[in-house]
Amino acid sequence: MLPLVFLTLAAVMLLLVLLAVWQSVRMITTSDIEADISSPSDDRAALLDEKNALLRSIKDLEFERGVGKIDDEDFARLDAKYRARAKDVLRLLDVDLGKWKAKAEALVAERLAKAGAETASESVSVTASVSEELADSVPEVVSDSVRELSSVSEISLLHCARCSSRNDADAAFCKKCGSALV
Amino acid sequence: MQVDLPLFGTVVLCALLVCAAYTAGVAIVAGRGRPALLSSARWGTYATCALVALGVLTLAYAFQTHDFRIRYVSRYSDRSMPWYYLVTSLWGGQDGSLLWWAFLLSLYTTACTRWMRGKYQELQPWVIATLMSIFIFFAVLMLFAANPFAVNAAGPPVDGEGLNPLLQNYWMIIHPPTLYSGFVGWSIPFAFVIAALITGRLGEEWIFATRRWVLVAWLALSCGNLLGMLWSYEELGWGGYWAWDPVENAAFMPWLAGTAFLHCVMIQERRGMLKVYNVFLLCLTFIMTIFGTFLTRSGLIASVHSFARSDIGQYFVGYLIVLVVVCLGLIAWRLPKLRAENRIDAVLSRETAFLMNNWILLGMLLFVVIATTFPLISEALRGQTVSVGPGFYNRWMIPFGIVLLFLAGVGPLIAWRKASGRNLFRAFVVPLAAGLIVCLAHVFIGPIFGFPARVESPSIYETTTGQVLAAISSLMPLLSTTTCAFVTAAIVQEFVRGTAMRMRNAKESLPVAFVNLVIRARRRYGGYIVHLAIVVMFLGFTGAAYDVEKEAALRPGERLEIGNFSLRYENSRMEADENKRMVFSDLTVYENGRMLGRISPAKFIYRTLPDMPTTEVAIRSSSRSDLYVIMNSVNPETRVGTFKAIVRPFVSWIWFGGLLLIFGTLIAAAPTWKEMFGEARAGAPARGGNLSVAAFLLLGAFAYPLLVPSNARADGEGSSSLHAGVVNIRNAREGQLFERLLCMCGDCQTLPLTKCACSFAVDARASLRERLDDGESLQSIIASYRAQYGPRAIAIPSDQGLDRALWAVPVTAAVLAAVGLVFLGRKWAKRGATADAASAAAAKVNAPADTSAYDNKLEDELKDIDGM
Repeated sequence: MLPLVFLTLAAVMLLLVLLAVWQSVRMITTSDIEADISSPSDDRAALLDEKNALLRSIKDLEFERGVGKIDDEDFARLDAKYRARAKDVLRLLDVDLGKWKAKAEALVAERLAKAGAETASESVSVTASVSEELADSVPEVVSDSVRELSSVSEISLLHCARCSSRNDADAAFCKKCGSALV
Repeated sequence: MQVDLPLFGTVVLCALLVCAAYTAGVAIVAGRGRPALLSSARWGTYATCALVALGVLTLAYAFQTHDFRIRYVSRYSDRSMPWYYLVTSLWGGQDGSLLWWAFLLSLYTTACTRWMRGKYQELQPWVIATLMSIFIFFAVLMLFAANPFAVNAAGPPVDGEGLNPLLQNYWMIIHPPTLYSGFVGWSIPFAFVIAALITGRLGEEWIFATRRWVLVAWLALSCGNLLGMLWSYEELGWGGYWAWDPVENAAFMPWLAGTAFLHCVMIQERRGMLKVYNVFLLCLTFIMTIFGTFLTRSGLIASVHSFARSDIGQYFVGYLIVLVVVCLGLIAWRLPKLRAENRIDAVLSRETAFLMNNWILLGMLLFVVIATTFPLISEALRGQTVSVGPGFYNRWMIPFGIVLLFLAGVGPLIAWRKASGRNLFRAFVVPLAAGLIVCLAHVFIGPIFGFPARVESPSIYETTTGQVLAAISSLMPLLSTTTCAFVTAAIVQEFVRGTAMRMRNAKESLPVAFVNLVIRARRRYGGYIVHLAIVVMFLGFTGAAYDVEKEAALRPGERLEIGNFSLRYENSRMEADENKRMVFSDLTVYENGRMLGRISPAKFIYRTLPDMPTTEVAIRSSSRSDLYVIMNSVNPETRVGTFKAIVRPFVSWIWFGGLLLIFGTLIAAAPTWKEMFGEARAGAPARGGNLSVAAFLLLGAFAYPLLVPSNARADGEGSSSLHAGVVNIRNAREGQLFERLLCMCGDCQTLPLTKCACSFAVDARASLRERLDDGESLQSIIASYRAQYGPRAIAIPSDQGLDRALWAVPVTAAVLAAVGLVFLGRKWAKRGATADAASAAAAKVNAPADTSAYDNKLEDELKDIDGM
């Protein structure tokens, strides 16, 4: 009985080896550069890690002051340093997000343009489907921003008087026909 | 048709070598500017790991089907063995244990590769390449020097030789895998640090990445060491838990280096200092794991664990040289990038305390490395094999240990950067008072309860050094209890202050505040719990100073009185199973007149080894002391039995401390909710991390029942040791002599005559005793013993000539390091102020884009982290 178990497991392992080798070789031959570029940013995870560590360091420092282990002067200096870096990291995260945001916005706009002159409620469902689509390929933070976008579209989208395209709330000209927006 | 299993296994090993080399190649190309190949390398990694698993499963199948064509199977199993010992035989011998090693590495590698998905994309290819290089080494080793699938040259035997009865117990199921996973676990942090060196990304990234992996490896290594101690205590039958055997040292050395890293890395995290040093420490830890394996597996140094001398030694030497060259080369190359961002500002700061702790840990490491390799050094330099016995280590390690323990209390009390006088006084007054009170209590009240502050401790040298060491050792109990009280008070104070602050600031009730305190700062309070665990273990070690030993020949119905215990010998009985005959003696245990129960020490006589009956000790544990009973002999006609009983105070505290250590480490390593659930949403999947946490929670659960102090063991199952006699030491002078001489019977594990109980040792003691009684001096007896059995028979090298280097080199190195630290500290303190000003100016110049817009966002994030 037991030998059979080991034999079965060994067979499974052998299949796994073959599968993994095949996958590995296939990826070398197809070498999907596109897929690589569209993968999440290299540094994003590291930045998130650093952000968490910095936040914890700031909290920790406040704690040390609380139990009287650190002078106010030292606290002020270290706290300022950590906060400056933390803000910088937050900024870098946003910069990093920027290109995703742009891509998401473009996708949304494209869908909206395709959908043409439809009702606002439909447009929400469109953005929802876009966000689902995006969720597969981009980090979820981005789909968050898409969700944000969809809520924006509900409230403050400008409709072009000439072609009825929806435009951003702060747009001066219609992105489809180019006519001035009121 | 019968499958050619040996051939298949060897082909799998070849495939492993090819696949690991291929993956390393792809990973290197991916790292050199073709990131698209990374996923190919990841799949290659999975393939490599699956190949190792396939190899292990093939060997396991061969064991289960008794495929004696394979030499390893026929040497380590036979047809009568139950299935679980057939599984443990996988790591019962050298060749298999290398495969098992690779298998554990493949588990770690799979978990790590999965966990790295989508993160650390710059480091990842190099991490994979480094891990693959380790696989390549093991594959080469197995293929060319220790193939577990090698065939029997003389054709398959009818039955195998079977596993050594010593190894047929539950310890063999748990101890080696735990220790191995402690060794192998350091590969992951090592791979990360190499990747960081190669890519030049030497910031905090690799530290964040390896944080949990380091804790996992450290925990497994600690558990491995603890289980080794338990095994030694319960199986070897000499009453001790640590004999400074080369294999124990091999596991202790990476632990020391790893512990040093664990502390020092906090300085880098906090202050951005000591980057070179941290990189060096992590490399050192990994090298120590390989060096330890080399020491024990190559059989260069005689040890109870070492397998037969083999030629794998040269492969290890080659690999070690490559490792050292690569590590040092990379560090030298990246030196400019490893500049510290800060300086140590004041001598009185936590940084300094951590540096001191590192100084002690590395001092201990150097000591152990030199002492362990001294037999080799001595042989190379003067063609003389010597031995370094436990007496040497015990004397020298006590002062180190006490200072280290003291620092475990000081560290948490001192603030980072700079501790002001007022803060220091506030922090230290209570712990110091606690230490003082316990010290006085021990001096004045201790003797009443049988725990005097000073104990007898014979000198190991005839020189001043020997006297100083003996003086420290004899005061060890007092030093230990005082320091333990200080550290305990310091840690309790930390918890109390933290809780009080939460109650004040967050308006929480006491239990809520306490729990929140620990949950919010897991690493800190987990670490404190580990410190507490070390204190508890230290109390256990201190108990050894109060051991009481007694032996007696008893007729049924007679009693042996020892300490508070009284043992009544009831009778002896004989049992047999297909493997062995077992002679049990039943003794009823009374404590202060109250009956506790029955214990049954025994002798097992295995059919395969009838000349070497094994001693099965009986242990009765309680929190105050262990009663350890060994049966020496029993006369089948008169039923007179000779017994030795040892009362060892506080031994169970060591095991309890071990549990506490596991608990503390688990708290420190536990992921936050955010990491488990929230962070996955934020784009950094933490599933791999969770897996690892789950894995070692499992490990903890697994270790738990084994670490729980046992009661009156040895009713048949389990323990064995190849000792037949009984040690009897009548006075301190005898102890002093016997501690310095090793048993030279050739069969046992060359324990000192104070510990070894084999018949050779019994005779040797008898003849030496006569010479002592005749008034012969210790020196002349030692000299003649040395002349008779060679320098190897002397347990503690003398305090002259090259032998002195054994302690002089590490002590000098430690002193020089201390002087260097002081100088460095002064230089840093001087430069500190100017550097601060300069960095402030630089910060202004390099001020990044205006981040004031992020003020509110940061506050929100801080609130978030608080609400977790």
